[in-house]
Amino acid sequence: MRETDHSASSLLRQGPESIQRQLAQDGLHLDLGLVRLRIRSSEASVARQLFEVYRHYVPLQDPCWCDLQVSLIRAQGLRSWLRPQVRFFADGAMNFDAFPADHGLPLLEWGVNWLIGRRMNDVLLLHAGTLERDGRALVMPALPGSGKSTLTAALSLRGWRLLSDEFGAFDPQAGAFRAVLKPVALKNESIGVIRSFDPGAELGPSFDKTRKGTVAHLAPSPSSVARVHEGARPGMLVLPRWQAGSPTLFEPVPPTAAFTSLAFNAFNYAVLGAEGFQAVTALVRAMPAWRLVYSDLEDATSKLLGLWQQQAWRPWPPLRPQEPGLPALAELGTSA
Amino acid sequence: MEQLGEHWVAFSPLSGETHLVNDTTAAVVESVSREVPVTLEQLCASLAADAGVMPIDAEDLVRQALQMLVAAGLVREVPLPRAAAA
Amino acid sequence: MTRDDGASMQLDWLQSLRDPAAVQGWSLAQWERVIRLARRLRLLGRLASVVQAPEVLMHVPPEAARHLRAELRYAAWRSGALAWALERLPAMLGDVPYPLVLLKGAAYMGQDLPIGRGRLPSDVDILVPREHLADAQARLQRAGWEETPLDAHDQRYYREWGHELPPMRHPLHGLELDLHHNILPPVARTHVDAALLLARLQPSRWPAWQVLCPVDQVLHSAAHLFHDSELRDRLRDLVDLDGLLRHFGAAPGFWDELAERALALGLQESLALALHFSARWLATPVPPALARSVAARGLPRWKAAWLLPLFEAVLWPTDPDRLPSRRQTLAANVLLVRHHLGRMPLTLLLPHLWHKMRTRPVSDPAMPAAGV
Repeated sequence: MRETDHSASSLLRQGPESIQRQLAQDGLHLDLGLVRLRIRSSEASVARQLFEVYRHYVPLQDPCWCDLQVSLIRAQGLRSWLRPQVRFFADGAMNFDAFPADHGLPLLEWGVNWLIGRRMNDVLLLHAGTLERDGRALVMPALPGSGKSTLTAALSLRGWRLLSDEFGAFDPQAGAFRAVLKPVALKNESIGVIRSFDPGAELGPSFDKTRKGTVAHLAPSPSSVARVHEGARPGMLVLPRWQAGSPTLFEPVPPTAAFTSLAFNAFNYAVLGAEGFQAVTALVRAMPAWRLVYSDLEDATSKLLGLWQQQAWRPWPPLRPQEPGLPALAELGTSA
Repeated sequence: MEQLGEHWVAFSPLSGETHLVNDTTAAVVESVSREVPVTLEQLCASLAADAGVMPIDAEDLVRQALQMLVAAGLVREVPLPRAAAA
Repeated sequence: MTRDDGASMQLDWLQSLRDPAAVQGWSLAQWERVIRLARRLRLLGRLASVVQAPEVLMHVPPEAARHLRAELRYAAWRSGALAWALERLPAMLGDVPYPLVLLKGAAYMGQDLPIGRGRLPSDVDILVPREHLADAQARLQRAGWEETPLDAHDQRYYREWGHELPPMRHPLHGLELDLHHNILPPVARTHVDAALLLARLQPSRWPAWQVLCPVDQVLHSAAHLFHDSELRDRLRDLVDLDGLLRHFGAAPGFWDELAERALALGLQESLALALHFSARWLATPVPPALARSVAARGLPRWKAAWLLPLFEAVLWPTDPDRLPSRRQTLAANVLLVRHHLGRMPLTLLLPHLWHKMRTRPVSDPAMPAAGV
C-alpha cells in the first residue's frame, strides 16, 4: 500500500541535485519528531541515498533551532586515497570509525541513533519498534532474534503508523510515546521478505558488507511523516520471536518479564534513575503484554491486528495493585 | 519498591540499580523501611513471627538477605551500635 | 576571553558559569551554539546545573531547556555512580593504616565545590603512599576489582615509570579506578615529592576519604593539564582551575602560599601557564604582582615566546561546525613530542613508543563498535 505524496517540497519533489546543494551549504534540516536534525555533507552519494529513504520528508526551511547537527565528511589521508572513506562528525567531534565512502547512509543512521540514545534523556528511550493505531502505541522490544525490524516494517505497510523502529520514546510527563521517525533498517533476508510482503514497499539502496551484513532501509510513509508530532498512549507490549516453521502463537507475559524486557533493553533506563523505574513500572501496569512466536509474517500481522482489536485498554496513569476493589484489567474501552 | 504481579522490583537511589526481589528479601526490605532503624534481632523476631518460625531459624536467611541488600544499596547500615537501617 | 589575534569572542559564554543571569540575553541561535560547544567540552552538565534557579530558568527557551535537563540527568547518574562507589570502597578496602586521597573531580565533589556539580565522572582517581600501593591494589583485587589486561611492556611502563597503576574495573561498578602514588611520573624531568602532598591532607565530606590541601589541588590541576599529552578540548580543566582559584583564593594568604608551594613542589611552569590562561581567558582575579613573579620564575620570556602560542592553539576550542585547524593539529603534535620527552629519558622513550606503535589496535576499543 503506497500513499501518494501530495507535498510540494518533499525530498522526492526536490530531487537529488537540490538535496545535494542543501547538504553542501546550510544543511538539510529534517524533523524526526523527537528531534530536529541538520545534515551536512559534500558527498553526492549521500544526497542520492537521502533522496531515496527520506523521500517523503519535507525539509525545514531556515529553522532557528536544530537538536542534532551532523556532518558526513570525506576522510583525509593516504589510506583514504586508496580506499575512499567517509567520517561522521557531530559538533566537531568524531567518535566513530570511518565507513566506505558510498556507505554514508548506514553511517548516518547509526551515528544519529547513537547521538539520540546518548543525549535525549528528557524522555525514556526504550529499545523497541513502536507503532501507533487508534491513538495507542504498540511497543516491541528489540530482543535478539526477535525480527523486530521486519515486523515493524511489515506493520507500517499494513495501516499502522510508524513512530520508530529503534526507539520507544516515552514521555512520562505527557504519558505518551513520541515519534523518532527514521527509515526502518532491514538486514539480510528481511529485505527480500519485505519486498515479497509488499512489492510496492519504498526501499532504498542495499549496502553490502556492513558489520551487520547487507542493509537496506524502508522509507517512512507520507502520513507517518506528516503526523510526526502526534503521540500515542501506552497500548500493548509485544515480545516477538521469529521461529522457523512455527504457527502464530500468542501467550501472556508475566509482569516481571515485561518489566525486564523494557528496563534492561533500553538506552537510558539507568540514566533516568528513579524516574525510569517509575515510568517502566507504570508502563508495565498500563500495557497488556504478549509474547508472539511466528514464522509467517502475513499471518502474524493479521492475527496481531485481531488481538489488538479485541484488547481492552487500560487507563493512564495506570491503577496501582494495592487499590482496593479494582480488577487488574478494567473494561474501559478504547478511548485514550 | 513496587509489586508487579506476584513479584517485586526494587530501585535503589543510592546505587542506581534495579533488582528483581524475591518474597523473603521483599519482606526484609519492607520491615526495614520504617523511619526508625532496627537491629538484626528485632528484624528476625518480627519476620519470624509473620512466618510462624523461630527467630533463630530465620537469622541465617535474614543475614544473607541483608548482606545482599546492603551491597545493592537498598538498605544502609547506620552507625548505631550493632544496628541496621534503611 | 579574547584571543590575541582578535578572533571572535568565542568564550564569552563561559562567564555564565559564574554569573547565570548572563544567559538571559542569549538568542536561540546562541543557545544552540553554546550547547553544542559545551557538550563537546564536557561542560554542558555544569551549565545546566547553574541555570536551574527558577528566575534564570524562565529565560531559557524550551528547546534549549530540554537539552540542559537531559544532560543534568546524565550527570546526576554518573555522579551518583561515583558517590556510590566511593561509599562502598572503604568497606571493600577494609581498615587501611594509610590515607586514601581523592583527586580531581571526586575531590571537588567531596568538598561540595561549585565545580563539583554537573560533572560526568567516568573514573575515580585515588592517591595512596607509594609504599602502600601494592597493598591497596591487593585489597581492591580481593574485593573484586580487576586490572585491565595489559601486556608485560605496558605493565612495566605503568609500574616503574608511571605514577599510577593501570586502571581497574569492577563488574558491578561501571567506573574505572585509577590508583596513583604521585601526581606526576617519577622519571619525569619535573619530579614532585609525594610526601609533601601527603603531609598536608584535608578531610572531605566522606569520612574515609581525604583530599589534597587547597594549593596542592590547584597545582595538581595545573600540572595535570599542562603535563598531559592531549590538550585539545581540555578547556574544562581550565574552567575547573578558575573555579578552584576563585573559591580558595578568597582565603587570606592563599596566593602567596600558592607561589611558595609551586616552588617547593617544582611546579612553577605549570602554575605560570595556568595563571596565564586562566586570567586571560576566564578573567580569574589573580593578583597582578603575583602573576608577574610566578611568570618570571616559571615561564621566562624566551620559553613563553614559543610555548604559549602552542598551548593557545590546542586549548582554544574548535568551532562546532569546523574541523580542527592544521595549526592546532601541528601544535598538538609538537606538544605531544614535548610531553613524551618530559616523561621519560630518551633511552626509555624510544622503545616505549616503538612498542605502542606496533601494538596499536586497529580501532580504539573505547569507541563504540559500528553497527546499523
